[in-house]
Amino acid sequence: MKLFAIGVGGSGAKCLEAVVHLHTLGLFDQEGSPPTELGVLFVEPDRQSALLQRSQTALNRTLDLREALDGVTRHFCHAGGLKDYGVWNPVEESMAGQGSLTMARIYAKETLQHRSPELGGLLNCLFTEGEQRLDLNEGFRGRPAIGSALMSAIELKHSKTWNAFLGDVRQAAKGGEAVRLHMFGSMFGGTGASGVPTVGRLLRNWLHEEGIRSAPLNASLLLPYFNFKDHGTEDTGLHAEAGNFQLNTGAALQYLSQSGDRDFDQVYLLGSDAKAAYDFSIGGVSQANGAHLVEFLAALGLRNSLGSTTGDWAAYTLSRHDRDTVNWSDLPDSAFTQRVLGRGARLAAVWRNNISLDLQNADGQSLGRFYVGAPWATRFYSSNGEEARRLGSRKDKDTRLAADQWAEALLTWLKQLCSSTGGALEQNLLDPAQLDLQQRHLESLDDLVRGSDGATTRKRATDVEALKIKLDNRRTPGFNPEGTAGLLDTLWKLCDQP
Amino acid sequence: MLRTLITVVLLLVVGPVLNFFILPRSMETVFLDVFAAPGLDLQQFLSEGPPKLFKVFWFSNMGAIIVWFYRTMGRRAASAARVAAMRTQWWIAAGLLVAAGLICSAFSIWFPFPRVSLLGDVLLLALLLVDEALLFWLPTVLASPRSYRLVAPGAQLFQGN
Repeated sequence: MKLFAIGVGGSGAKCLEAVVHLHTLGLFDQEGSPPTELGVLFVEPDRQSALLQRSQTALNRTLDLREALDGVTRHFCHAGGLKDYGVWNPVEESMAGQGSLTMARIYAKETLQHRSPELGGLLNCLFTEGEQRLDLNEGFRGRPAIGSALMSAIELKHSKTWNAFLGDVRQAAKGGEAVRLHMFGSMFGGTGASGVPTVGRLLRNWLHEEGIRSAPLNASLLLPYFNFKDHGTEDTGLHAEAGNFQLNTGAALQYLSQSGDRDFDQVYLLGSDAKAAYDFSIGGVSQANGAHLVEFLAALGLRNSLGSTTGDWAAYTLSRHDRDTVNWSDLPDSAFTQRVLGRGARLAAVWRNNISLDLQNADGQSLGRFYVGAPWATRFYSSNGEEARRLGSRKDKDTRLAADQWAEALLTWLKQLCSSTGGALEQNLLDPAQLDLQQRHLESLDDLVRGSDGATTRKRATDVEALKIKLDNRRTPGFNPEGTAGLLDTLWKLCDQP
Repeated sequence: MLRTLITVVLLLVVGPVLNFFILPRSMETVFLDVFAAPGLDLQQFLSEGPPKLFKVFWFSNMGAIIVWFYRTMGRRAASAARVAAMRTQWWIAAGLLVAAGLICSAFSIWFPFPRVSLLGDVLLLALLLVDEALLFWLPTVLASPRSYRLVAPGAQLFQGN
């Protein structure tokens, strides 16, 4: 199966971060089917967006890891490719290298007023002076109307970024592969609220034109789930205001209720009554909102859509069992989700906060000396080769670096996910304290996954020492994994605790 | 499991038999001539010196082994550096055992029987080293907890599971 995910705006980019992590952990794979391939495309007018950069960092680190492990591992990141289609910037697309872009410029306001004063007047009615002069390179500042006006004027197939994306969709769909298109974005900001319906409509039109009926187009739409701690001032200029979130959401939902069923096959609406509080930002580099559980749920929407067909007509609701806490049982397909997320958290924590520290300390010492403290290393690093003194080849070192960076990205994401639920809402999924990046060795994984059975035998099995002993005992018949890739692959198998 | 069994047999069967019977008896038979020296009451030496030396040394070995297993079993081994640091402790234990052997030799051989030949002294010390290898080094190689299985020097010679 091939998944094509499109993240629109900052929240959409954060959802894609969740999608990329969950894809690496195998959450989109289905039993008995080949691993799922994923392609991601960001839609973001704000080139400085910290949220976009952060998602791209996670994506790039995952791509680096996959490249480093390619062809070596049998289980972890073994198949199910990941493709980055890059960022589509609708503003740059419209500017075509003409410098900054404003609404006044798009609609040639002066000419318009001169030639048709009525239309010029209409423009003034629809957009304030500030909105008309707003430099769109910085995003739409919580004004969906601006984004809609800009994006609906663009033809996707004229864009290089979209061409590559749509070309792959066409090839997969017409080649008989199962294809899913899934959009992510908020309904309460500027870019998402304007981009999801507009780009969704453009995509639907393209699918019609191409005669592709076997590729469902779905969307996970985020309703307000955070507030800003502060407000902007007069000096801030135009900015997104939390007070407008409900208004924007209402307008976007009204539009979707009227035309959404023509554009999207399935829609997942996700929000939270307990709002996380983020620092106020007008966007750009200062907008550093942490990952949120709602974005994770949005990504789970994509998983849910894999098992359903376009013929399903139903509305389901999902909510918490307990008003004050979020538990594993609140998540869709909870047992599998818990298993996958727990496995990923264990792997990242053990790797980054233990094994990797051992390997770092081993740099510069002979492998024979390292073996004394790390007998498990004898299974993966050979002391016979020329590179024995350096603990693996140059390529192996690169693999270690890639694994470190990926694990850090995953731990950071998981920690934020489990920390910023908002208000008094408590999460009972993972222990954030165990997800910190540490310089001292992690000794125990007990309670990392909350709500697991606390049986004594289970606890012993989650000790890092016990895990290392299992690594040492590991001998896969017919496959002797070597180096860091083999180590990660084996660890991945050991971290699975159904 | 096999390694543990071998270790138990070594410590509780081979060790006592060796130290309480075979080694003292070998002094009286195989190595009798080595100790003979003018002015030495050989009969008294053979009945008091070596038996006492080997008995005390067996207890020393057992003590060191118990301390070693107590230390390694009760210690978390999540960090490779922490595990590797135990090698220093192994050498300290081995060194203390050698020192214990020397002290035992002093009190059971050199002070009471100063006329024992030099070759006899060297032979006894060599046998103590063999004893230590068999009752301290080999058990630490064979039966140290899994995380510490390569801490004892030369343990890599026994790398199989």
